[in-house]
Amino acid sequence: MLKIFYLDDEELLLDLFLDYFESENTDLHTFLSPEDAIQAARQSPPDIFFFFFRMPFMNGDDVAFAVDEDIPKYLVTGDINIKHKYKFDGVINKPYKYEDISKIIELHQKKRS
Amino acid sequence: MFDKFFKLSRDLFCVANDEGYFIEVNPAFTKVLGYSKEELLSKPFAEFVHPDDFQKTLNETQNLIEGQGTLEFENRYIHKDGTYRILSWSCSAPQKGEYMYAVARDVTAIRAAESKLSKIKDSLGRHAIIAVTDEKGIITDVNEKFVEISGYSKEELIGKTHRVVNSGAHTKEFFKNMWEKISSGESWSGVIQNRHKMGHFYFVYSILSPVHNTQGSIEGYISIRIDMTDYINLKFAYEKTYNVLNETSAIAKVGGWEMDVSNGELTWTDETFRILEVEKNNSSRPMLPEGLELFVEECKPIIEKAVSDCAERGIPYSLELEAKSAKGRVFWVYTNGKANYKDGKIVTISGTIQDIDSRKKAELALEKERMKSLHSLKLASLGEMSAGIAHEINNPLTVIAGTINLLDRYKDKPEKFKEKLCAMTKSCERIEKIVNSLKKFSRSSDNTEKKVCNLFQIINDSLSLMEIKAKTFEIDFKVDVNEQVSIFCDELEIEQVVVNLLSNAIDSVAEVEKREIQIISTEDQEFAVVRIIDSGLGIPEDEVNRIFEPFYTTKAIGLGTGLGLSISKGIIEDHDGELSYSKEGGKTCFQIKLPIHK
Repeated sequence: MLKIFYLDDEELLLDLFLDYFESENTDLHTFLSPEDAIQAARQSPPDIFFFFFRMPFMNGDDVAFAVDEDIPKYLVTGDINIKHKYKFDGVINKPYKYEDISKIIELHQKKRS
Repeated sequence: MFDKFFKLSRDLFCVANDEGYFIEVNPAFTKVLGYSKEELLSKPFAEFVHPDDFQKTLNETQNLIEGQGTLEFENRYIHKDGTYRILSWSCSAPQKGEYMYAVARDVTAIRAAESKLSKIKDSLGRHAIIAVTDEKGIITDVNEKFVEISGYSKEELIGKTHRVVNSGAHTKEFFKNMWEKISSGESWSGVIQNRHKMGHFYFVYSILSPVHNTQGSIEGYISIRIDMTDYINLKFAYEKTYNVLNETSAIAKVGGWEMDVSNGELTWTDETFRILEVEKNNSSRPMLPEGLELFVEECKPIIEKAVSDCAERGIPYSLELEAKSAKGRVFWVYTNGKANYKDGKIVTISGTIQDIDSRKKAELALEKERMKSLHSLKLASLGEMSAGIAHEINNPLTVIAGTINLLDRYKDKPEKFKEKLCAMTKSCERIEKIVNSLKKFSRSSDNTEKKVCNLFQIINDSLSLMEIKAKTFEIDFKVDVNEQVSIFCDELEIEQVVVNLLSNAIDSVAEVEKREIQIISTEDQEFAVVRIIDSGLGIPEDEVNRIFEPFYTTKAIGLGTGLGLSISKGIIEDHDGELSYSKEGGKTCFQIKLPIHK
């Protein structure tokens, strides 16, 4: 079972994420606070980490550099032309399709098996 | 034979007895006095005499009876129409027991003419300056007025020529022409400058006429003069003032005008003619329609209405309009007008016209530049906001798209279904709100129009626009604004100012630990005061004086245009307000002061 973290400032999106992927044989964890997500990732690193970029006093780069380098990280953003330093595994633009996220999850499931 | 003379004579012949009755009168009596012969003989002649002359007539008659010889006297006889005729009598004394024989002449017209002449002479003598000379021009008589104006006594003047008062202001030619004319028998008239005995000058309008003797040759001259000194001095003073006024008007490029309301006739100063490039015609004055033609088509209805309101209702006006000179040059003028009253009625309207072409064109160019700068600033603000706006729109859009994706799963869970629909509605509202704010903010302000606006609404709209940026830094605005205050403004411009100040405040507090921004409104007499106070680092003391200069910025390169505060100050001043900076309890405070609309 894949452990997936999703960090976003939009609570409704976190709810939808849970609703959509609950049946996908995954261990889902959602976070509204970047600090909470970083702490959880350090304690028990996820298999995939989705997070957004524009957050209070921190951005996507800060979160990416704060956790284990080996964790696959995907930037989920509604911004236009975000300039980031961290080399993410992928960038998902809002509004996204769940099929795109599903494909990423499937990819990592395959890698793992 | 004598009977014929008796009947034909124009003089009045009569014969009277010692009882005071006419015995015989000639037809001239009837003609002059209007009575029939019978009426004249029917009552004592004394009854025809004027009451005031009655006693005199009686005395004269008595003298005659008493043998005083021939008498000559005048009395007044009443005409049948009630008027009086002056009769000049010549009577011979009767021999004892004989009748009186008398002849009278109607001298009414002669006496009236003499009286009139005497009055004219008297009046002329009192008001005019009169001198009489012989044929060589030597003064033989002067009146009191001549003595008074020249300062010489009568004795000093008589026996001398007019050279005694010569001022030296006129040429020999002038006097030669004058003498040639009067010595040829004609009259001469003109203004002469003379010198008073004390040395000062006086001016007289003179009429010089020759006096002829019975042989028709000139025996002397009479001069009648009127003192013109005050008038001439006034005229000099007026001309001097007029010239100074004209010169200063020309320098200031200000012309004057007046319009006679009764006929639309215009009086222009020289500068008005110059400004409008109209050729001055001394024989006719311009009329209102011609004056109105000297404006470009778009301005004609404006000036026409202003003039009409001023002439009919006394409403003053001051306008900046485009004029079109008589030579076709189009240029800006400032013109004003006000009504002038007489006995409560508007008789004229008058005002000025000024060539303001250079100033106005510079102003228009400056305004164009200002609009350009404002637009640049707006674009810069929009650019700065766009990333956040995209984020703000894409988030709810993802909620909507995601929910649609999952709706199928909720069809059997009505509560969940309803909850998701509600989430979609809220997301739609969020998008609508941000799009509306953006639409309003990015609207072009090329054609700005001031209107009465609610200050709270403007601040609220600005806060909505800055909400995203504030949220990024976890800043909560503390707002305390009076919802009832109205201002007369261009709301987009004021909103731009508030957005600029809020944006600066956010940038300022972003780097500090304690992040606070307060927006407080108060009223100070006629003004609404909005203070935007932040807990940021503030402005270094030595740079405070430069913050309203264009291109001044404390932000890092690329983060600020430096135009925000200078343009904001310009906008507020354009609204008759003030934008100022101060420190308030260690915090940074920008204060906007705008006149309240009541």
